[in-house]
Amino acid sequence: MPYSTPEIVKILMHAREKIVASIWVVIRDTHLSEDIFQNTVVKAITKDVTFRSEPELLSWAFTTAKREGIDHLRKNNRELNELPPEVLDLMIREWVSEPIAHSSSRVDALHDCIESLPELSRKLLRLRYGEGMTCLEVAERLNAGANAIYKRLSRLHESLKVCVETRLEEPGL
Amino acid sequence: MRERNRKLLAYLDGALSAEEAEEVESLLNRDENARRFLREVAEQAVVVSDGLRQEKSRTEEFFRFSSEVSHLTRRSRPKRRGVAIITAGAFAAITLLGVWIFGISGDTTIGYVEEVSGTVLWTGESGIASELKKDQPIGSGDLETASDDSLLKLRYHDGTLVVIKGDSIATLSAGPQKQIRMRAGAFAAEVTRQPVDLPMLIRTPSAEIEVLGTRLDVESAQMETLLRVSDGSVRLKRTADGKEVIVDANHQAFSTLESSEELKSFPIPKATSGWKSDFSSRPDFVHGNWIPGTQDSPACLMATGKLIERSDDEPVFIYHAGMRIPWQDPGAILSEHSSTVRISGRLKESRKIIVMLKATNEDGTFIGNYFGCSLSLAPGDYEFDLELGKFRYKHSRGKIPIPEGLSLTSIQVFSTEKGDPGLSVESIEFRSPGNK
Repeated sequence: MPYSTPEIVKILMHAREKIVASIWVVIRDTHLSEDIFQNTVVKAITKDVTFRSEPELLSWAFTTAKREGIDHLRKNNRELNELPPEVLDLMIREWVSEPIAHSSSRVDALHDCIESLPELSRKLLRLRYGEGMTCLEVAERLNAGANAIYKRLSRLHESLKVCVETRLEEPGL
Repeated sequence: MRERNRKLLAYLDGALSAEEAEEVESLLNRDENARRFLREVAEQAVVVSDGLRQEKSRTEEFFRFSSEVSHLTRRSRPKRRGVAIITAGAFAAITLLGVWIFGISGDTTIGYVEEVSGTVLWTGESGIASELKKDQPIGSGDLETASDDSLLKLRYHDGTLVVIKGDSIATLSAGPQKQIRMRAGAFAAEVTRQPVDLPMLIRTPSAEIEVLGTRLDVESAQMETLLRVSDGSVRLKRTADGKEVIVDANHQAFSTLESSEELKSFPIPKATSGWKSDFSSRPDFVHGNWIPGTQDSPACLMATGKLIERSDDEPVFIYHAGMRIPWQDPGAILSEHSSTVRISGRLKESRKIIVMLKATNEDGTFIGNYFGCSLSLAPGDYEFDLELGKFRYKHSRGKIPIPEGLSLTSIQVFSTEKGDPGLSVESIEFRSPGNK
């Protein structure tokens, strides 16, 4: 039985962070990534396509979102490296194969871990990913060297990963 | 690992040199942990951005929608309300956006299939790969011509004609600026006049080509791109270092990943009648593996396996070796019926060997792939001659002999029988009647 519109929206919303993340990996702009995700949801419920299983819908959504992200990147920003298609496809496959329930818990844990970071660390993440600055721009804003920012960001990402894994091992998550 | 992660972050910023970026891409291709790190960074970026938007967003409209759509989200704890609001806001925006998108852009196609032969796979917005059919409209997507005799003619809405041929992989983009990314293969185009600020853009791993209106041919392999211009002029940029050259009518240019090589345009050479290969260095656009010579054995091309999809039959696994011709020679080889091609090498298993020649007009316009076949050859050293007049083009209407006067631009030697034949090619020689 094909999915109804509310079912399609529900599945895509549950997978929202993964899909938006997959777009971000292409265009490196979280706000535009959100826009493209919304376009993708609209297409899923308005175009003449039917979905009968979650993997089919997610695979379609990732591919459609990827396509729009690549189009946007080519039209607007030639300075960014374009991820090779085979790498992008591998990453999408890895995202799709992850059970939504598991990733849902992971995002919850991630949210908690980010909130528990020191203010300076949260500021660094906000400038880089919330404001969309490059690390060079963040370095200028914070009066630091670019390399130092890369190192600090790299450590931050690793510590968030450890924090998430620790929280996921806690009962109740 | 920390250095790896630092490079991955710098790669995302576009802050690496071309060489470093290529290393990172190679790492991402083979290292699951590197990809996992990138995925985690991306997810963290999204969650950070959500949090920032939550701080900025205070409108009542979001609160109103949150109760209507909270059942669509997986978040149920009170402190998730902020994110639920974001999600609700997104859902509201989706409904409005749907009206806007549907109203403004009903047609996202870029053109239609004017002609298709062989197996040409297309992955469009549906995300599902399918074979292209004649007259089928297409939008942005990935296409793959899965066999050496595949051919696709695509007509854009503005009349621009693109021909993609042989074993090629390309991505087409929709939008006001025509963009084609050729990962590998051969491509010809007749481009109608484009807006000055929106030239057609063709990207290969080693070059970026801007086209305002012209006829041209592009051949791309992993490390090199050959551009030939028949009419008009084209700007070619070498991706390795950003150097540019203008290629005018009846000229060609060659771009590699080696920035120490001079980038220049030179006239398309006239045809020659005889030519012999020299494998002492690696040829251009090689299929198979080039094996350098030793004291005991000459340099050769060693055939490697490849799966060919076929539209009308089961896929077939072939072992093939080939190259662009005439390599290291400014001339082009003409198809004269009385000329022969002599091929020698070694075989480990008894086989019939098929030879495929790619033919173009003098101005580089692709005409077709023509096939000839040897008798069954015994294991060991082999040598055989094939008359060019006996080469045929496999068309749905029958087998068409190769016309005379065409330029032969690449050759492939292969076996379709089961099992690795241990096929190597040590010499390829075109002999005209005058110098047999």
